[in-house]
Amino acid sequence: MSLRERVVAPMAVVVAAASLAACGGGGADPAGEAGPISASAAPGDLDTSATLTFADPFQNDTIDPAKNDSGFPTRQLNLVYDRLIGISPSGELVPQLATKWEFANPTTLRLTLRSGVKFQDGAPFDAAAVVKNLDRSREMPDAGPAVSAPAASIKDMKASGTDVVEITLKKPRYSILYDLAQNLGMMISPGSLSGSLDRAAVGAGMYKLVEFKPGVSATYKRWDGYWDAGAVKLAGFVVKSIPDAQTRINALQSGQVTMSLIDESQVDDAKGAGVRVSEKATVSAWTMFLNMTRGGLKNEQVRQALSYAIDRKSLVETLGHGHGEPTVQMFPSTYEAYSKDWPATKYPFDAAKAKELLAGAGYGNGAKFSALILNRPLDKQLGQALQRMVKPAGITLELKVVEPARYSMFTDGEVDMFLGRWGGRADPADTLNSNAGKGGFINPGSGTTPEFQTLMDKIETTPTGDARTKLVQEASALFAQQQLDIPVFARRSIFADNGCVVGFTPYMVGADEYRGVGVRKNCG
Amino acid sequence: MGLSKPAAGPLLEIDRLSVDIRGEHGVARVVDEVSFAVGPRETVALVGESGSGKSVTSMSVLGLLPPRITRTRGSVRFEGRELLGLRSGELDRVRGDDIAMIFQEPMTSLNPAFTIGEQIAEQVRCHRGVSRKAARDRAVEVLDLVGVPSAAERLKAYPHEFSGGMRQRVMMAMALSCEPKLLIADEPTTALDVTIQALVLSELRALQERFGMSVLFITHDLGVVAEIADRVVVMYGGHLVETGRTAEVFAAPQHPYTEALLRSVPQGDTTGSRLWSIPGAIPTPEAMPDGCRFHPRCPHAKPGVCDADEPPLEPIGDGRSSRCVRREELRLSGIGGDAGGTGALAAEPLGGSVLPGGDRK
Amino acid sequence: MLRLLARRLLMSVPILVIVTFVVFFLLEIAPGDPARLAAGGQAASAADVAEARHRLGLDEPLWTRYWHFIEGLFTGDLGQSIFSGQPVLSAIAERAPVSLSLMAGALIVAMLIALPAGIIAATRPGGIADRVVMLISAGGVAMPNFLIGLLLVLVFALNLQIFPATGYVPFEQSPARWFQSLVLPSVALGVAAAAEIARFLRASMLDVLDQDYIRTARAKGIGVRGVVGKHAMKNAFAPVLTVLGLQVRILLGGTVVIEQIFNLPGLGSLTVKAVFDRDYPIIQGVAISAALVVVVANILVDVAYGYLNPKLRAA
Repeated sequence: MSLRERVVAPMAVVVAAASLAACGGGGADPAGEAGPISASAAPGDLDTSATLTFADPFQNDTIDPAKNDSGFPTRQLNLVYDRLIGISPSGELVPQLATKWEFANPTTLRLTLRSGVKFQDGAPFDAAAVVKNLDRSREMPDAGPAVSAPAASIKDMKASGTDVVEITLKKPRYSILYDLAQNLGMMISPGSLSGSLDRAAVGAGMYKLVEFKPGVSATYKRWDGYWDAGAVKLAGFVVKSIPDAQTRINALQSGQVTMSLIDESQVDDAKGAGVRVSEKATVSAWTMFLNMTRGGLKNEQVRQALSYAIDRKSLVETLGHGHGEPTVQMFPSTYEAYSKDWPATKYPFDAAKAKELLAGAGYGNGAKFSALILNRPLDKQLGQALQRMVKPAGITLELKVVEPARYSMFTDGEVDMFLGRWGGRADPADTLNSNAGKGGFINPGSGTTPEFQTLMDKIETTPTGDARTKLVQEASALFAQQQLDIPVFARRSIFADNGCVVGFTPYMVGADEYRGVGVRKNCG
Repeated sequence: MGLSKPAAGPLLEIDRLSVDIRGEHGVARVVDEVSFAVGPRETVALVGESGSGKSVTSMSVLGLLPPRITRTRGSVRFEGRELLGLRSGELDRVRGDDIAMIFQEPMTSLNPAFTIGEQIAEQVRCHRGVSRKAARDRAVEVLDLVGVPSAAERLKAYPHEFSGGMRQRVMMAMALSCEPKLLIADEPTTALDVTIQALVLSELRALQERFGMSVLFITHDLGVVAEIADRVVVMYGGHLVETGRTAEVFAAPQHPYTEALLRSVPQGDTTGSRLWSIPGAIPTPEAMPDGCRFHPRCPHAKPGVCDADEPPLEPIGDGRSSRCVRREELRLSGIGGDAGGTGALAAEPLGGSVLPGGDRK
Repeated sequence: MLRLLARRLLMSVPILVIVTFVVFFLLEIAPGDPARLAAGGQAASAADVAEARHRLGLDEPLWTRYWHFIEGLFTGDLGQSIFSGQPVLSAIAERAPVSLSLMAGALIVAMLIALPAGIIAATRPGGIADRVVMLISAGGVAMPNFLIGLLLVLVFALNLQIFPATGYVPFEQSPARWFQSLVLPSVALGVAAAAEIARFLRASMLDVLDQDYIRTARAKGIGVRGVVGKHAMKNAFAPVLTVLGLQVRILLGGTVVIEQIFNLPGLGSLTVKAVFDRDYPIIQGVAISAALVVVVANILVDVAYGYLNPKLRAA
């Protein structure tokens, strides 16, 4: 036997064995048979001594609400810090530490607090504590924008008795309710306010913080003194930061975590490995952010042409692996602020139409735009796909790939557009304003249309409620019609678990909460 | 095992030993049907120029030739027991214990990374199974024996701290540490200068007397042979060409090669004059001439006789043998004793003492 | 021996000084603005950014900052993480045991594989064992460590379920599980090193086995174990030491990827995060710690050389 023969045969055996090993667990979907993850279970079926371990792609450096962004980083914070106002999975404001809120006048907000609530160190939760908290947020020098921006709009606070707080704003800002539903509204026990809250946390939430390792993990245990005892169904909760998607799913499959967020590309593999997959629409969307003060983008026809020139369905298939919803608004169709008048079908993929519109706007020979992309694999994929897609319509996109830190090139007005991901905001008006309103932080040059700005101004002075919601829908419809930015598709959040989790409803907005979430007995 | 007992027969018997070595140009037979014996308490000198196959012969006794490229045939018997073909585990019991070997290059034959004490002690521990301390004591003992000063302190010294002559003594101490019955010495003094050489040789003689061991001494220097050997075995081109007792061979060599070797031994004071050496060189194993291997360089070669058939090794009585077919016609001249007669060699006055140490008869 | 050690320690000082220089100034010229990132990234206003810049002391002149940096090194104050506020030294001290365990594990795995492989290949050159060792070693060097890591996870963690796929258990918590959590990552990291070491050992051994003193050792009858394992090894090991020293550096770099795959909270993953966050104090602290590890490793190699080769000690 030659050397080759001596080596190839055994090697082939090894490779075959490895491939067979890889195919293990195919076929049946045992975890999926467990039913949807949001199903609840009878109390007797729950394992009350269970700890849920969650694999989170995000890494928190600190557990201080004031130093964290809102949105994904709040997953850990939500466990230990209850907020004045809560958010439901579909994005609506619901009572939490405050039972009632009303605007006595456009600049005065009155909150009625829930009684009988204690902090985890035994201190009472009352109006004085709320005022002290808000004071901290206002005065803190290194507070992040999630807290400092809304805190800056507060003129004064007053405690009225133990149960009522009156907040006076410098000018009308109804969206402050949404702020109080996030970091600004996270209530910290007054006894801890003067110390460092980077690695310690004392709130009024469901779980007590046991240990926090920055960027690595956070461990919590059940707090029996929680005001809504029925919501706490786990003995412990551990959040592990695992940035790598493959590692997350490996951890799930080898039983080291109970639940994980996975990428769209991993869904088929996960299902094949017998893992339960749960999907939910979110307010996060891939978007072409436009600088409307530059060149052709000033012209509505040009913007609409761009919208006709992209094949949203195909992008959902490729970039989203079939998980996502084409949209021409900044929201998915199941969201409250979505306007039913402008579905994505209003801008079908039509290169001829795009060319026609461009010609009508004076760009018969084609149009050229500079586009910024962040140096991340998915962003680059989007950018290159869009570049290819719009060519037949005579549009040329010059791509500039930069590090995330250089993203400011767009906001400083150096390029025409930015192709990337919009993470979503609790307040839909905030989304619209930031992207296309005057002074919006991701609207360079404050490029907007007079009609849209009028609507935004009106919304600002309308209290939350049906009227405001209607106005927001109108603004979203206008946004779609004028394509003030060009949304591509709304993303899904996808969870994978081993089939043992019950009572979990993924959130459309921001990070999920785990009220009433438990683990089944004798499972997995 | 204490001092060697006198054996019934020869201690070491080499019988029709042949060694083939695979080189760049194919397989070459570097040792061709060599047979000789070493008796108890006897010193045998194995003599020849480099390329004669003497080193290979000596190394095959202890199986030190590289296995992959060497094929050894024939028989090597020690105390009646066949050594060739022994598994290395078995052979290891003989090596360093019954049979010890010292080598030519003292500068490189000791491991630079270990102290000399350790290198001697490990051999003792290995074959005698004694404690570390006992092994160390033995090391001091043998170092003393070979004349290394301050032996006890020197145990901790490394080889590079010794001169060449001292290193050779250390090698000897190492070889003697387990009281071998046979010492094989492969040109141990070649790399040393003359005065040290003399000292080492006299040490060797003294030790041999004391331990009653046999010595197989490989050399190309007949002067050394005269000093210490009882019998001499001459090799040329892989063949044995002459054997016999030293005195007899020196006085009356029975092969022109031996005669030529004797001629190249410096006599008395040779400063100023050119040393005579045999013209030509040993042919490589691939290029062996027909007939007698020495005939191209032999001053007595006769065409038709010496270049036809390969002459056999003929015993000529009393432990002597020769491979020269013309030996009876030629009266080859030796040194010491009778200066032989009408040989074709131009007579240079030969005679007088051989070496500073005096004659050995 | 002590003189050798002292000399090497002294020689390390200028090296470390240069490292601090390079680390500090390289970060200066890297694009990206830590002040902006600290102020909240995309959503921060110009005022916030300026305030953050002042708070972090980034508005002071270059040389002043460098001087503060050096001062800090001596007092053990390496600054604080821009994002978590945690002192850099404490963050590194927390994570160092993980990475060091991983690297030690990788070296042990490498030696366990390379020593027998190299010896077998050298004692039977040209034979099957030799060819197999050389083939596998070429493959081991060529295959990226993350690929090996992922394959190991697939087979041993997901399918056979013998070892965990991710996570690190501190030694104090459970020595047995600490060991378990390090097996797969150590193998993934150590295989490439094993291949290199095996090759060097083989070459070095082939060289040594040709030497006269090996012939002497064989003639002494001390057996193959003594000849190869003791006499040959002590001399053949020196070039391997050099490779080991080089490998420490490579292993350190390899921890970055391996820690991500296996989710180990060590210096590698700290570095990745710090670089993406532009958390300068952490980056600087890690770079200097890494340089320190490499310098110490090389000093140890030199000292070991002195042990192996007595002639060097006198020098």
